[in-house]
Amino acid sequence: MVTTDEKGPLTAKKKSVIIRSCDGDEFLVSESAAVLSTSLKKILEEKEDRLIHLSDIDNKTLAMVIAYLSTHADDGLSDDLKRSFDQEFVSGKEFDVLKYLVLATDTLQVTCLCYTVAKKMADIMKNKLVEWVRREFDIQNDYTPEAEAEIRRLDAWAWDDRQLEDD
Amino acid sequence: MFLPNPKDSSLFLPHGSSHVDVYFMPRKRSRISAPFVVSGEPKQQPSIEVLPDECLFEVFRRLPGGQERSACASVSKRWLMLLSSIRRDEICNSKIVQSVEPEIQSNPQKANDFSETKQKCEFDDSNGIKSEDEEFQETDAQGCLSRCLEGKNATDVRLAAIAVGTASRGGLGKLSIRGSNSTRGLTNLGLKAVSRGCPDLQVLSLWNLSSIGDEGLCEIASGCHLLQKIDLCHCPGITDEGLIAIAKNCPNLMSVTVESCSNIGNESLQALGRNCPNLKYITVKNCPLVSDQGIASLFSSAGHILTNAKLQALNISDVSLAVIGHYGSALTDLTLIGLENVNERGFWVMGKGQGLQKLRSLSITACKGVSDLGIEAVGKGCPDLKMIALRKCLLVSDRGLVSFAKAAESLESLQLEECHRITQYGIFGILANCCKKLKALALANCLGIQDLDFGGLPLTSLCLSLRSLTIRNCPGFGDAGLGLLGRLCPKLTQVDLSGLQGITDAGVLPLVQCSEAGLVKVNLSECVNLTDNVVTAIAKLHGETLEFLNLDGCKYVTDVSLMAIARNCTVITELDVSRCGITDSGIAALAAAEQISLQILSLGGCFLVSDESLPFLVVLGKNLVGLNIQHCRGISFATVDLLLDQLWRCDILS
Repeated sequence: MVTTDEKGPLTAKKKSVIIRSCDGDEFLVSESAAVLSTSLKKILEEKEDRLIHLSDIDNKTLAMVIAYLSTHADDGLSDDLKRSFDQEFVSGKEFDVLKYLVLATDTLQVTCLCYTVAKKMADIMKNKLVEWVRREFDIQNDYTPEAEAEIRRLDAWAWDDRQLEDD
Repeated sequence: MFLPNPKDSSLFLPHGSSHVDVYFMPRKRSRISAPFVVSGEPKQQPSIEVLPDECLFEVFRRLPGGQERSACASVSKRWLMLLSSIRRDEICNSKIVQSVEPEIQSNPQKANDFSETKQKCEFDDSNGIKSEDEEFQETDAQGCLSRCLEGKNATDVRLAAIAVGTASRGGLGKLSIRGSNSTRGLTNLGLKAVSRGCPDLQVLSLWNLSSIGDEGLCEIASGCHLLQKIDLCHCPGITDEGLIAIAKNCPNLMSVTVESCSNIGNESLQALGRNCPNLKYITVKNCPLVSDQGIASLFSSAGHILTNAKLQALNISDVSLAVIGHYGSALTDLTLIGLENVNERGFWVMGKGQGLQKLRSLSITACKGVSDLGIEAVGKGCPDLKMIALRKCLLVSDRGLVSFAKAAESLESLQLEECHRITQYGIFGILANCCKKLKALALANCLGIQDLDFGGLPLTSLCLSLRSLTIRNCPGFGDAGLGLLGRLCPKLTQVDLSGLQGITDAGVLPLVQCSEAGLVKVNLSECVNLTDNVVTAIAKLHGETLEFLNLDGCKYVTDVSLMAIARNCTVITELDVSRCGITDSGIAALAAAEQISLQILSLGGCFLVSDESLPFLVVLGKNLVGLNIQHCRGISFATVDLLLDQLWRCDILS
């Protein structure tokens, strides 16, 4: 599956890059969009090859990142529009999806998207039970029961007067 | 920071056909150096087991408040340590854009591209900036919290939890750590968490921590610039490097204590003197690396600001005292203890230096070099000296002391302890000669004192300023000397003669009778030869002023004394008649005296007091806050139980 960059027709001047996800699918991205990722930019500066394989980003996530990059590379859009795009971009997304996104932005070093996603995740984590957080992040609790009790005691104030949610 | 070496071929592994480059994700610098497992190997099939620290870090920075951060700290140790590594200013998004990618900025060729990237990103941060403002309102930290970790509680995890937890609740202002957990001991990592999370820290006290080194202290220096007081005791891992970092980065530093730190030396003191414009208090004790060089450079730089200095058990010589005497123009309190290598010349030159114009209090203990010549020079050189204490100064004799007292015109308090060359000539010499201002004289354990008969020595001038007289455990002091003291010092209000076994009624009575001002506190404990006559005289003559009377061990004191007290004393609040010969009828007399409201009564070891005293003790107990009936063999357990029951407000020793 090769998707063309929908935001503008390919011209000789606007070079494009093919990015392949770990699933093997390839995405055609304009170079101006690709260089918003610091990692991709570095690779493009080093190599003449126009095919970049990302071994740890899947189709779905990569598609989202590319949509983001393309939007932000579009000089025709105002900052306000881009800002509302960002809001739209993260709203309603599953926590799991956000995790893959933030990982991908870290890999690709798309700083601004990373911040946006991290903010969204932080907002979701508000008022959540520790158990919820452990489950969603798949964290092994490495505290001993005594140590955890102690930490909870030290931070008892953090639990007072709060309605915590488990979903 | 990113892509440490882009040319490193290991980052680009061939995959499939040769023309395809596979980009493997290089990991950013780990935010923490703890031995936590960070997901390392990239996987063909992506599955998120654990988000890398960098991602979590970005999320944590954006948590809405301190509550959320504390809650997240409970998730796992790794999260706690990661949370504790977030500096407060890193919660601020706008600053991070610049600090995250300094490498790119430093590369001029790419700088333009980067700024473009940054420009495009700017609006993304607007949300973040807004939340940051809210965050700062919430964390209006002033460093009002105080925490102390002791022994097994002193672990990195706990310290990190404190750092995270206190950050948004006023901020940690004072941290004390006493020893460390033996298995999971405190390390530099814990201090690092403090440096990140507690920028308001003002007081840091580290005792008995062998696992803490310069790295930890340097972290504190880099994160806690508001530090005012640091106290290091038995921290062998800390060297000059750590303390110098503190000196250079904490301009508010006011008080430094270094005790038994075997690797801290002269360079630290030099750095403190040169870099700390507010250094007022310095204590250096038992640090073998500290020598004259350190003390000299400290005082030559900071002598005009240091007000309090305590030097104990150091390998310093006359040179140090000379420098202090010359440069210590701001010193008000100086304590010198156990300076073995300081000789007579050192003290002499300290006084001659004319620098100690503001010195008010001088305490010298166990310095064998201090002599008559030296002490006289100090008296002349310190015109403002109000208090001097000499302990274990074996060379100081009457002559030096009297010369000193003549010179030190402001002297208000003189304490002599274990100065065995002092005799009564010295004592009376001081009282007669000096000191229109001397208010307190204290002698303790001066074994050289013998009672001298001055006969009908004419008293040319009385010592009208003396209010407080203490002569403890000077076995040679006797009735003759005491009688003369009484005549010489009629304004006494506080008298402590405890342990003077040689004195009798004949000595104490004149003192009691001569006192014009009215005695307020009298301690005659262990003056075993005193009888009811003295106590009766005290009660009759000073009953209106006497508040405190201790007769512990005066075995000849009986009910007669208690009856005199009951009859005459109106304001007495504390009475100790332990091991006296009193009986139930004495207690009854006390209880019957309605004007008396004793707060503390000691009857310890009064064998003759029996269960019969119960009703009287109950009456007295209405006002008592403390009652001692230990070793009263005549009082049964049942009576004690009844007392405990009825006098529940009173603290009863039984």
